[in-house]
Formats: sequence, structure tokens, C-alpha cells
Amino acid sequence: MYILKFFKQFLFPVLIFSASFSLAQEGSQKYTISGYIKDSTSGEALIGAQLVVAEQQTGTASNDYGFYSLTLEEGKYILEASYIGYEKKRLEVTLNKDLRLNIDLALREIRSKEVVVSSKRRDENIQSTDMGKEELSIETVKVLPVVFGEVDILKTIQLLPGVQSGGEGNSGFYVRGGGPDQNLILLDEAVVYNTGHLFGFFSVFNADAIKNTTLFKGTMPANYGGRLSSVVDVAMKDGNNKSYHAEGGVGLISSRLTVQGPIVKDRSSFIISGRRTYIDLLLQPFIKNSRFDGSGYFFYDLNTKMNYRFSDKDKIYLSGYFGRDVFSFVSPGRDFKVNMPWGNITTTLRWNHLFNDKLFWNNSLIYNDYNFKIGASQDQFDFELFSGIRDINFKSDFSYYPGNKQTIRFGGNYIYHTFIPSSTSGRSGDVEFEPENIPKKYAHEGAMYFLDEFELGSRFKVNTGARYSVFQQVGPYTAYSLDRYGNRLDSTEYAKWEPVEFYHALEPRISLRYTLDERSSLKAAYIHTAQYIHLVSNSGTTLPTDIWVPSTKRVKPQRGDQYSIGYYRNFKDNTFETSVELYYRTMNNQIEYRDAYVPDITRDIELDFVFGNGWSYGAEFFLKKKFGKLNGWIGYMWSKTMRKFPDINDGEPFPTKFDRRHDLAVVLMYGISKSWTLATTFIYATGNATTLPEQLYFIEGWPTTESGERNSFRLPAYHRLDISATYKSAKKKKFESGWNFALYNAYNRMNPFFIYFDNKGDIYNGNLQIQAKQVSLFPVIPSVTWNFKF
Amino acid sequence: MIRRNKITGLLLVALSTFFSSCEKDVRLDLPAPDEKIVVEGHIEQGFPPYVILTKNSSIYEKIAANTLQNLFVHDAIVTVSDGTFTDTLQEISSRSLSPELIAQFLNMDPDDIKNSDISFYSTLNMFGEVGKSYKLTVEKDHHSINAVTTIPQLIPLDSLWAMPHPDPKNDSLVRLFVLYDDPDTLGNYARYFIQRNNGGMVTGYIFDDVLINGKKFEFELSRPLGRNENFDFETAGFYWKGDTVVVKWTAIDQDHYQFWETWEYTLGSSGNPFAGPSYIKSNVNGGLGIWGGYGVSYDTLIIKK
Repeated sequence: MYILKFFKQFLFPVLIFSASFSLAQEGSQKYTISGYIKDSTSGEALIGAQLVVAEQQTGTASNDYGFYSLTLEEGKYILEASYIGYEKKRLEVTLNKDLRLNIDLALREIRSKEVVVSSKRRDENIQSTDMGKEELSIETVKVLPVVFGEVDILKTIQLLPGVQSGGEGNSGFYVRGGGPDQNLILLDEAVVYNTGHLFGFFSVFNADAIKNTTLFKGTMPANYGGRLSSVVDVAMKDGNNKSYHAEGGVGLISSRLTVQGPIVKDRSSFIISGRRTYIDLLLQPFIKNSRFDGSGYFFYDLNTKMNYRFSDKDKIYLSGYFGRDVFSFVSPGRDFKVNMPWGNITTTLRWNHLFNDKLFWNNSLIYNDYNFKIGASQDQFDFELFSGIRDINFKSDFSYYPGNKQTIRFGGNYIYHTFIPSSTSGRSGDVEFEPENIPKKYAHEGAMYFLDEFELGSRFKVNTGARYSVFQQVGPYTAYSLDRYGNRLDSTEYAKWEPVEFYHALEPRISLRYTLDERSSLKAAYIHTAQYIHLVSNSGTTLPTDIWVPSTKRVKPQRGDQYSIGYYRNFKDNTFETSVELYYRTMNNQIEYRDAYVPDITRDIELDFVFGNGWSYGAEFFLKKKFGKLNGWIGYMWSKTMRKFPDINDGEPFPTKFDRRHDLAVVLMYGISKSWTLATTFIYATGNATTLPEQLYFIEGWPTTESGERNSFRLPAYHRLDISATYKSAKKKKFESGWNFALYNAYNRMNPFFIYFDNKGDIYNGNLQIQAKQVSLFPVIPSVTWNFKF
Repeated sequence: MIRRNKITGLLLVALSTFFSSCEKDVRLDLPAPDEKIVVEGHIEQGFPPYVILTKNSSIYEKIAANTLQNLFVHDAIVTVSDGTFTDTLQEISSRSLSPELIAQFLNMDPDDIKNSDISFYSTLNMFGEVGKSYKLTVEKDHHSINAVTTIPQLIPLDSLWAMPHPDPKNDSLVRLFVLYDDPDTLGNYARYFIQRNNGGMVTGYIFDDVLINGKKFEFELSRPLGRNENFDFETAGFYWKGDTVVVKWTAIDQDHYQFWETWEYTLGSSGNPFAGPSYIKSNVNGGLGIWGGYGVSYDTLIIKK
């Protein structure tokens, strides 16, 4: 019903408008040139490659599958196809009929000294309507220094202004004052629910398998939805469809291997990429015969993808990710064992179909699953806990290129969510526990969207769109009425598919670009978003035990409004890009744990939530040098993020954990020679807001402390300098190898990780001493990684 | 009866295995808390109520032996009512009675009492009865605080026995097991205390019956760590052959349980970077601490040499 209404009242009129807008511009005979832009050696589709009509202010860019479509008046043209790191290609075309043209771009033969910061057209930042959009090239990610030498796209994203690190060495991040659950993190369109290995110190993304990473902070295009703060869209490599290759590396804590090649040459290819840590193997000698003999920890990732091109019109892709962390703890002397595996699985099946040279269609069927399991046993006693989230997602997306510098995209998706809260089972000898487990929750989530990018006159460019989203919790479900402790009283049963709760939202968005001159532009954007699934974390990081929960009767969808304006200016023939963006946003129905919350696996966690509103405002300054021997960027953000909850702090506003007044990142890369690249990053951030114990009293003689106001204490500022040097052997050889040397926290700053209070002595002996202790996690850490490729 | 928060604890073990952390002493500038009265009061069946009143302080206040004396709240008007009968409790100094006797009343270690003068409030006109509710009122300097608790029905342990240490090398140590028969209504809460060889009563842990409601269930009752005892991995939780062990097994109500639950969590999460802020759920209106009723049963086991 709502979907019909949406079509009638919103989508249909806009479509009519767009179509008539296109028609109105129709004059002389027009023809369309379309095709795919690919890497000439691997056949890998190039995402966001530029195709420009020489001597004209017009052009297009390839989409996520390398497809482009350009409609021009009859005539002769010179087209320039470019993608940074590749040779520019000039093509002469005579357009007197619709033309199919696949363009192969060659990697530059001679390795340039320059490190590629961005793969965009030189003045893309000025011309586009994008605000807060950043693309990261894997090249950049690979030369930057990181802790233990583990290349990590999410840690590189944290170096961009407006993106704040989740904590020391952590891959979790916050965008413009939004919580960590407000980031939509996609791997080949599949949602990755838990992006961290080992408490978030490493992200699940293996850089060898990744082609492209795009971050949208603030204004997400309407084809993305379901989160308030940002989108990180990660695309996996397709695999080389011309010849077989392998690459890999041996690092301090893990090794990697990637193999790719054609299945049927030029038609079909595969890639398999794996990574595994070996901390457990390294530690084995130390724990052998100790009281923890048999304990260990490791994680691994496996990325696989293959594709098959039936014809120029039809292509399918199948990609998957499988990752696990496994922690085991054994105490032989106590006959005590714990085994704790957790991880994500994603599978994406995609079908690209070209209806005609102006209409591109993609369908995706996606399955993703995150689960956490713990099994513990001690002699006859066994215990098991399981929690997770599982989605089946169908998406259908159309891209329509009517000409006149206009791109229309529309489509929809449907997700069936299964939420598995902690469900426990166990036995002691013959006695089985039969806990009244928290019921699973099921929900439908659906959305339809439409977005249209077009130019109005020579100075204005508009990107407008809307998303209409629905969310419905359905049975089987048992709802309970509760007493003041949360004990169950009466129950209401819902049958399978029976609606329990329903929410919907219209999420409009618009961004405008106004060109001031060739080198500068002004932009403004507004977006309204809704988020139906939530993750609440008591700590600053994502833990494997964190549980995603749906909107229910008790938990309302999060709603966000964001306004931003920006000024963009390039200098020195676009060598330097600068921008200033200001934003103000409000976030409603935010969630925190109530005071005196004790984690309890037998209780539905939504009962321990309290709700309130948040707001954030700030300014982001960005200076980027894209070309030359020395390049990199400086990002600085000033911001303030507050929350107000009736049940916290007596209803007074308080800063969020991720409220950071100053956040500075300096990233520099310097190509010394064809083989050597130096890189350094410097970070300065205001200390985290945290809650510390404020009062002391005695219960049964034990010193007992209670916290003061939420986040009322500031940790000292965080700053750190990292340095790396990367060596690559000459490109010409068949076997290429290289080294990466890195120094994390070069000047050994003891950054605060957390503060705790330690007591010595005893009150009754009159010698009790309480001392605050600051714990730092990583001192200076050198690392070395060996990489190879053939 | 699974102890909670074990998962985070295990994660911590994993974390500390891989990252050597660096620690330093810091001096922090924290605001002084509002002054509040801390109640430590309890009532058991067959015994009079006991109430210790202290004040809270800021974390950094030097807590020397004499400041402990400064923490006691004297001259308060303390009354307990069972709904029909109200009695005013008298302030008593622990110096006036034998430390062993006081230790018994207050669930304390006699050694603690020998060095200190503990001030507490009690009466000889009121004795706890199973199933009754008791309201505590404390008035001091025109400020009034109150709390209500109940003494729930007793749920005695079915039996207890010792089992050898799983590692035969440690043949002087044993594990203590109990059989517990949970009533089939949900919401039975328990707290236990252990006394070894006529020492002090050492506070154990709390239990609820969410996972084992209505079951006859055996489990290990680990030896709790005394306040002044250092943690020793080899012996923690175990008992010794030849021990005489007294288990004080108590039934408590839900408010009472929630206090100890949040209190245990707060103590246990100290030094855990993944724990959230710590607040303790008190049943005392206008104050801190606990006014708790206990339905007490005792069991004694002499472990063979």
C-alpha cells in the first residue's frame, strides 16, 4: 500500500518531470556511445574511470561495473578516457548511429614516482555535487604505516576529516558524531555487521582482494540507506580474465596469498584471496606445558569471486567473504575449556543486464550472516551461547543515462532479517538447562529509491533523490508485559509472518553545486535518513559480543537530519585541492545503556536501553595534494557532539564518547625513486570523553566506587606519528617483490587507552591506598612485511 | 547458575595475551561528590537487625585508620518497622562486645574488628521472621532516608560434598560441590558466605535461577577470596583436605539481589577497558548501600584428610 502510494505521489511525477526535462532538450538527432572501461592486462572493470569529450565541458564516468553511456549530437568527436595510474587514451569517433565501444586502458609502463591519492578527474571535487565523498585507492592504503604492518582500509579512512578513530589501533570509526552502528559498511553490496578482528584492532578487509573503496559521510546517494552517518562501499576485485597471477605477503602477525586468473579467457575469471594470523603458532612455545597449554587465538579471511560474461548485455558475478576469529582457552589443571568462534559470511550473486545503451540494470541476491558462539565446559558441566544476525537481501538497481548530462538511478531492495539474541543451552551431567531464551526476532525491511543528477544552466548542478523505506517486525514472536524489574508477566503470541510492529519513512535528499569559476564552487546539501537496526556498545570499540537489534515496539527507528555547506577551491592547475565543509545534524531516538546496567545473557538487551536525542556540528578543513613526488593531505575537524537523555545525567546534556573538539590528520607520501616510497602520518585528537569513578565508600570493607556524570572526564589528548618505507622491485621483471618497513608510534607517545583505580592495603588495617593508573596500549612498534607478485 | 560477565573476562585474557600494556600512575582532578549516607544493614530470621552507617568520600581522600572512624555516622535516629511494630535501634560500639561475636553478627572477619572501633545500630526487641517485610528509616540532621526489604522463604541446599582436584598432583586440594533443588517458580535469588576452620565469614557470590528454574542441579561452590587474601592461581576456589567448611546459604529478594549484582559487576569491571560506567543499584531511597533481608540456612562439611 505504502509502496503504491509512494509511486503515485512521488516517484511517478518525478519520472515524468525528468523525462519531459530530457525531451525538452531534444533538438537535433542524438546518438549514444556506451560500453565498458577495463584494465587492458587484467580485464578488471575500472570503477569511476572518466570519459570526457575533448574541448567540451561534458563527459561521464563508468559505474560500479565499469559501464558508461554518453549521449551526444551527431558528429565527430575526440574522446579521452582516463583513470589515474593508467595511460590516457584518445579515441576518434564518428557518431552517426548508436555505438558500442569497450575501452581498454593500459597501466603506465614505466612506474611513475608519484603515489596516487585519488583516481578522479582532476577537478572532480569542484564539478561534482558530491559532498563528503572520498575514494581511497588501494595504492595509498598499501604505503601508509599501520600497526603491525597490517594494511587496513578502515584505518586509512580514519585519516579523513570528519572520520574519527574508534580508539587506539582500532578499525572502528565514528563519522560526524554518529555512533559506530550508523556506518553502512558494504563488501560487494553485502552488509558486514562486525568489521573487526581481535576487538577491532584489525579490519576484516584484506587489501589484496579489494579494488575500490568509497566513503560517503553526510550525504549518501539515495541508492544507499538504512544508516544515519556514512557508507563505506568496498568493491572486491573481479579477477584477471587474461592470465594467471599470484600475489601475497608475509607480515609480522599474518600472511596473505591471492591467486587470480581466467576460467574462460576474456569471458570469465576468478580470484581467491586468503589471510591468516599466526600469533597462536608464535605463542605456542611459550604456553606449551604452562597452565594454559592448548589456549590460542587466530583469525582468517577468505575472499572469493568469479564472474562470467554471457554477452555484452549480460554478465554475472558471484562473490563471497568468509572470516572467523577463534579464541580458545584451556586450563588443563582445572579441566576447564572455552572455545569462542565468531565471524561474518557474505555471499553476493549479481546479474548485470543491459536493456539498451542507455539503461543498465543490476540485480543482486545477497546473503550475510554474523554470528558469535561460545562453548564452555568443566567436567560434567557444559554451556553454549549463540548470537547473531542473518539477512537475505534482494536488490534491483537501474541506471538510466538519458543524455543532457543527466543520470537517473532508481531501484529497490528487500531484506529479510533474522536477529538471534543470546540463546543459551547447557547441561550439568544429566540435567539439561531449559532457559526461557529471549525469542528470535524477524523483520522485513524494504526500500524504493530514485535519484536524478542533472545540470541547470551552466553553473548549477543538482543531485536530488528520495528513498522510501519500510520496516516491519513479524512473528513468530512472543511479546511480554513486564514488571518493574523486567520479569515477564503476561504474554502475547504472534504467529509466523504476523505483523508485530511497523515503521516507515520518506527520506529525501538534495545536493546542489554552484560553480563560481573554473577553480572553485559552492555546494549545499540536506538529507533525512532513517535507521531501523541498531547496535549499542557500552565501550568505545566493537566487540564480538555486540548484538544488533531491530526496531521493535520499545525501540524506535533512529532518525537523522543533516545540513551541510561547503566551499571547494583548487590551486595550481588542480594540483592542490582544498575544501571547507560545515555541517549541523540532529539524531533522534539514539540509544544508550541505562545506568547500573549489568550485561546479562538471559535478558533481552532492549530492556536495558534508554532513549534520547543527539546533535552534532562542526567544520572540516581539507587540503590535498594529488600529484607530484610529494603528495598527501591534511585534514582537520572541529566539532561538538552532545546527547540528551531523560534517564541519564538527570536529563542534562552530556558529550558523547566520540565528542572530539579537535581532530587533525597529516598524511604525506614521498616517492624517492622508482623503487622507494616514504610515508608518514601524524594524528592529533582531543582526548576521549569518559566516565570515571567519583565517589568512594565501603561495603563489607571493600572499597566501592561509583561513576560520576556520564562522559564528564576528558582523557589527555591523543597524538602519534607513524613512518613507513616501501620498496618495490622494478616492474619489468616477471617476479615482483617488495618490502614494507613501518614504525608505529615513532616517538613512543604513551597515549591513554583507559584509566582505572587500583587499591592497595585495607581500610581496617589503616593502610588503604587508591591510585589512578593510566594504561597505554601500543608503545613504538616496528614491523616489516614482505610482499610478492607474479 | 552461570556467573555473568565471564565472557568479557575471557576476552580480556585474550587481549592481555597479545598486547603488553604500559601503565603509569596519574593524578586526576575529579569533582567532589555530594555527601551521602551509606547503609550497610541486614536482617536475618531469628536475629535482630544490624545497621552500619558511614559517609561516602571522594576517591582521593586519604583513608587512614583514623579517617575510617570519621566515616561512621553517629547519633542517627534509626528505626525498623515490620508493618505492625516499630523499634528504634541503639548505637553500639564494637569495643563493648567480643570481636568474635560482632564478627558473627556483622558477617565480618574478627581480625578486622580487633583493630577498629566499629559503630553500628541494633536492638534486642526485634527478631527477623521469614516472609516478613522490614522498613528501615534513618534520620540525621533533618535528612531522612529509607529502604524496604523482605526475608524470603529459605531454600536450603540439598547436600554438599568434596571432590578431588582434577590434577592428581594437587592432592591436598579439593573442590566443594552442592546439590541445589530450585523451586519451580522463577525468581529465586541466593547469596552465600563461607567460613573455614572458625575463621571469618567470607562473602561469596550471588545466584539467580534464570537458567535452572525448577531443576535439581549440582554445581561447584568455589571458595571466595577474602578481602585481604592475595589471588593465587593454584589455590583459588579450592578447599583443603581437613577443612571444616560452613556454608551460609541465603535466600534474598530481587532488589537485594540487584544491589549485589551491580556491586559485584562494579568491583569486577575495575580495570576493564570494555566495561561501561559503573553505577550500583541501591534499594536505599536518598542514600547509598543496602538494606537486605536474608533467609538463612547453614550446612557444615568436614573434609576428610
